[in-house]
Amino acid sequence: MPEEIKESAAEKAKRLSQGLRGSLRESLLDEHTGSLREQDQLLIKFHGIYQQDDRDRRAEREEKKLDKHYTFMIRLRIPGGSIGPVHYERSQKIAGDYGTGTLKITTRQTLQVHGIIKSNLKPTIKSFNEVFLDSIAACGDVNRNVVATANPTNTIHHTEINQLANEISKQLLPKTRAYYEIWLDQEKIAEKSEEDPLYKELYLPRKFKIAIAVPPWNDVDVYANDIGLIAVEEAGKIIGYNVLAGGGLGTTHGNEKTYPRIGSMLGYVSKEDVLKFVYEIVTTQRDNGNREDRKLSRLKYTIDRMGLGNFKAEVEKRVGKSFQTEKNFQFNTRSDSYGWAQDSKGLWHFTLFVENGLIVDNDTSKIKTALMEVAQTRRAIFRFTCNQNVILSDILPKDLNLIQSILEKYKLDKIHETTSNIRKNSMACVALSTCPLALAEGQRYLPLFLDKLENLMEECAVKEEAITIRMTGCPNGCARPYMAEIGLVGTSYGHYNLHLGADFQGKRLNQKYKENLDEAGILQELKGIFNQFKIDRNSNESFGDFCLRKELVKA
Amino acid sequence: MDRDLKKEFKEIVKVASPKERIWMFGFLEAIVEEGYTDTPNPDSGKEAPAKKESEAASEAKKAIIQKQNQSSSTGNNQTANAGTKTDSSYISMATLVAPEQNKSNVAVLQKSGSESVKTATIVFGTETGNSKKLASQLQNRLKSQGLKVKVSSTNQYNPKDLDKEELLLTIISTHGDGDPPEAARKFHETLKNRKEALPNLKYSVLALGDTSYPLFCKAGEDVDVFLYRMGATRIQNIAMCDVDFEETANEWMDSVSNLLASGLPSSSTQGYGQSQNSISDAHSSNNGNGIITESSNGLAKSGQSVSSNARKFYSGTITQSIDLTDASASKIIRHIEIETEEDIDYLPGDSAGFIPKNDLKEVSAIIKGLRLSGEDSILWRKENISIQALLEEKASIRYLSKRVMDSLEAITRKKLPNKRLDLIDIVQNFPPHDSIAKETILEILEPITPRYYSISSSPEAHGKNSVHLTVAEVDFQNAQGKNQKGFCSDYLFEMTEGTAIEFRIQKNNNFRLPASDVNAIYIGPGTGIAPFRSFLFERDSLAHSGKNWLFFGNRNFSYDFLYQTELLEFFDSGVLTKFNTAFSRDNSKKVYVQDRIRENGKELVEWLDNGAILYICGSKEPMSIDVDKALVEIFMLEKNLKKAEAEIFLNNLIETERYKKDVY
Repeated sequence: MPEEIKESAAEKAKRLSQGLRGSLRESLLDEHTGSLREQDQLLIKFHGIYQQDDRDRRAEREEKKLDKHYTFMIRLRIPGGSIGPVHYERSQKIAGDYGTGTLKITTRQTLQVHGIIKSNLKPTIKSFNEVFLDSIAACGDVNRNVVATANPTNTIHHTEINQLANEISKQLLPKTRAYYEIWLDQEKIAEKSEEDPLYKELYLPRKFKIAIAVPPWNDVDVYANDIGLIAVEEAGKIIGYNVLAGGGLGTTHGNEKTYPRIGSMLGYVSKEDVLKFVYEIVTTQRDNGNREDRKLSRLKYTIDRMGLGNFKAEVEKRVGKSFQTEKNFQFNTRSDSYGWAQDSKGLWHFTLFVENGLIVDNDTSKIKTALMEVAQTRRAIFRFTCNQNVILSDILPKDLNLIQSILEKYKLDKIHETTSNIRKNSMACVALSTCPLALAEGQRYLPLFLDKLENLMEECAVKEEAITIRMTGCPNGCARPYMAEIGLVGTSYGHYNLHLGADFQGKRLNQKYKENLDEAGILQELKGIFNQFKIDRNSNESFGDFCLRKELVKA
Repeated sequence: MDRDLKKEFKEIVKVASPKERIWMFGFLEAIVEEGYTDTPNPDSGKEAPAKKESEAASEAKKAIIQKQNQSSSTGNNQTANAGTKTDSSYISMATLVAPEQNKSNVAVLQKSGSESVKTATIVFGTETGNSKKLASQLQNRLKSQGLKVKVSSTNQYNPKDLDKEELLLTIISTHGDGDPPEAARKFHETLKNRKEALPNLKYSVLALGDTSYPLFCKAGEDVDVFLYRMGATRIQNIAMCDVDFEETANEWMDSVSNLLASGLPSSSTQGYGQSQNSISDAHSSNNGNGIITESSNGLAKSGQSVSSNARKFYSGTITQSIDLTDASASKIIRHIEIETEEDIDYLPGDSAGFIPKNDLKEVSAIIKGLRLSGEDSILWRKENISIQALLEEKASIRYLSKRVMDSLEAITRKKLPNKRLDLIDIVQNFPPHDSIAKETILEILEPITPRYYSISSSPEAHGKNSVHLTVAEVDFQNAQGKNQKGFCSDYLFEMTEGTAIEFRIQKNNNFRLPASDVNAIYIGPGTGIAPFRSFLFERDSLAHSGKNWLFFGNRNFSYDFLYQTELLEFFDSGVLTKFNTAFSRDNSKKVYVQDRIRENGKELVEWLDNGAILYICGSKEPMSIDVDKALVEIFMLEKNLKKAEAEIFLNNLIETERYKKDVY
């Protein structure tokens, strides 16, 4: 008797979607609701769009006999995180015309726009398309935005890995023309849905994330990705990559079967082979990943289920080559280097701190206005980092003063000097009011929490410490809280689990220290530990290492 | 003129029976009071002079109001057989000597024998369906008497037929500022401008109206005058009905019916009354006004008619008042629920009427400005009332009508701007000279007219003790350029939950649900959604099998999609079969319901061809005009018609009551 394969709802939706088309066209034409039909809400993720609603207004709107305030968030596909000034200006304009007005730099080096109502989705995508920006596969069960170390001073490597990021992205892009038909009103070319040899009918079991790091910078958090490529240099050139596989952070509260995992080292591959290895790791996951239980679908579970050795063997079989022994490497930091820096070609780059990646104007700094002015000069490239900052790049020496004057005008040129180290190493996910999964606050609250934490650190005389701290509204881990020295993972409104013990460079996960703490509770705990840290730390020992050494948590 | 009228008249009087004399007095009184000339006014086509309620109408009104005051004090709306004496219709002999008389009428009188009428046409001009209902009733009665009776709506009636008519019975209501209903506009105009005489025509008019309004029953009166001027013979004086029209209407119908039964107008026929309510008073014997009718039998019938409760004010409490729009909406629209102890007699399609109270600050300022005292009493429309109460609750003090402005100009002897000012503007900027008695200013004020809102609740779904309203905030600039809020909407908006409020029901028999298995298409943008919410709830409760298609529009999808969750539920459950929306301020391109109509033209026409009824509710201009344009366009396209043909098709839908309108 053949074993009945349970098909999850998501798998069914994908299978029946006719190349990710579903009933999107009809959903868009439904005039009575701002929502998409249910199956299309899943499919639209593959188009880089999430359906959201303003959770803050739910109760009041219901009283007013109004449906939820449905809006959409669109995430662009920007492999390696670089766009030109024209693209930036257009993106900002679209955010203003159709969205909330705010561009958000994500933790994967791309841009997000929130607050688009259904009837404005097509105009939005059409407008992006005019500057050759798209959102294909920015979400969904596909390969997501490929990130690469943003530090541009290492120019030669930077160019090369950016190119690699683009190649990987292209290679792993879905072949369906649904995006062009639905959003851009392009003609259906063939009657039958197009063939997709990589994704076939069902795409991947889950999301897939690829990062490229150039040591000693681990700004991309390479260990947290499904595939991590660590560039290997010889005589000033990149010769190949150490390949990590199986990193992934999402967990579910109370489900012991779920856990965060850092990537396992598979070995070294030459740069000529890297694309092929990447491809076959993806196909191996495609064919072996758990499609019944989405909570156990990520590559990390596939590897642990198969066993690392077997997994590696399978990949090698598909490629027709073996992994070589990994080569040495060292990571020093995950932080961005703020301020001005010049690269080997003589071009200038300015790394600007943007708290939580939110490009807004407020009383103290006018980042939105400043960046628009910079874009309008056409004299800089915009590189986004995995720390949600922006680097104004490739500035000719003769234009240095021009850009500097804009930064000065808006008091941004020295903002990193007046911002505390802990804040510069902080990250939060979006959470409320638009993320449907959020249990607690994220980006709206972390800056306020940090105000209090900075005071506390001053009290404990550890004010200048660079400690990575990350906050998420739920255990999915979109802002990589499990790799932060202080991780705050939301459990219910106003309450977080406190995680400690990760390292500064991003090679080690943290562990849960205490559960369900409110703000006072968190501050209380940290106060005690900071005081200990001040007294007991070894020289140059990081806070995370200290916590581990002191067995506040076990590795 | 060689005829010796006086002599002739005296001869007639000599031979007339007492009853006939009484009839003559009444008849002549009518001619005098109504001040008619016997030639049509050549200037009738030009700018109409300020309309003035005729004395006849105001007499009738006063009589009605007084009667109501009496009957409310006796706790009985009907005074049939009550034997109450009233001299409200006493006609002094002095007024009977007419400067001019319609000679043909007198001639008819002389010739009268038993002239019997064989055919009649009943023409009705209706807004809410009441005139139509009455026309139908009358038709049945006259048919049973052996007459050939045709019934026609004023917008279907061919004026050329007038020359061929024997008897024309007109039942017509009055709306707004003395105007005929939309469907009777052309008819009214045709009669007004017609120059040819109608010497062979007999007629009578039954006028429906509302004594709350200054120009009570004007449209009906106009028709009566126009026909008279053309030389037609009035067989029965005009009867003027207030909102509780059944009784008076029945009396008139009884009279007409009896007249026709026994031949017109013979010595054995009944008498007439000028104000018809007096007929009911004449159940008793001579009651001084000398009007007796033998149609007391008929009156007994009419006595059995049930009061329509149209005048009835319900007492309720506001149980809910919520802003239906979300934070960023540009115009607030409220959902207001009112609950009553007693059952409310209403159906989906009806409206609730409110008489708003004036702003207290404004009232104080007026009293102060006129240097009067609020406690002092004043005689206003035959009622003693304190100045405070008058200005607060009774008199309209905003956007004064031209009549009032003209009166004020006369009283204050100041040249007032040719605009409709507020009383406070007059008091502050054009104060009367000290020598002028300030009370006179107040005396000429007109009553606050009720404002009506389509009811958005359903008796079946929400129970008989509840009405729901959908009220939009109104902002505008008055004649002085001052920002003002809509009078009634502001009044309602100010009311918090728990406040007491009175309202009456205005029935709209022209805007009813279709039969249970008939499909319906609703076009209801903005507050026009109100009756359709009622319809949908009602149809759902009654499990109608007919399908429903709604076109809704407003400004922003996210902020003013009125009743969205309820409508979505109807859509999900299948009560709403199709649901199209248009939000004008969401995108750079403005989209309106008429655009959706055009996009769905094919299917819309299919629905209509398969018997669907089309409804529209909402703003008259520009919305309903634009919608009609779009409908004409889709008819042209889908039925391959020329524009004129498509327009005829549209009008035909209206005339055959397949396209119903409630636009304001």
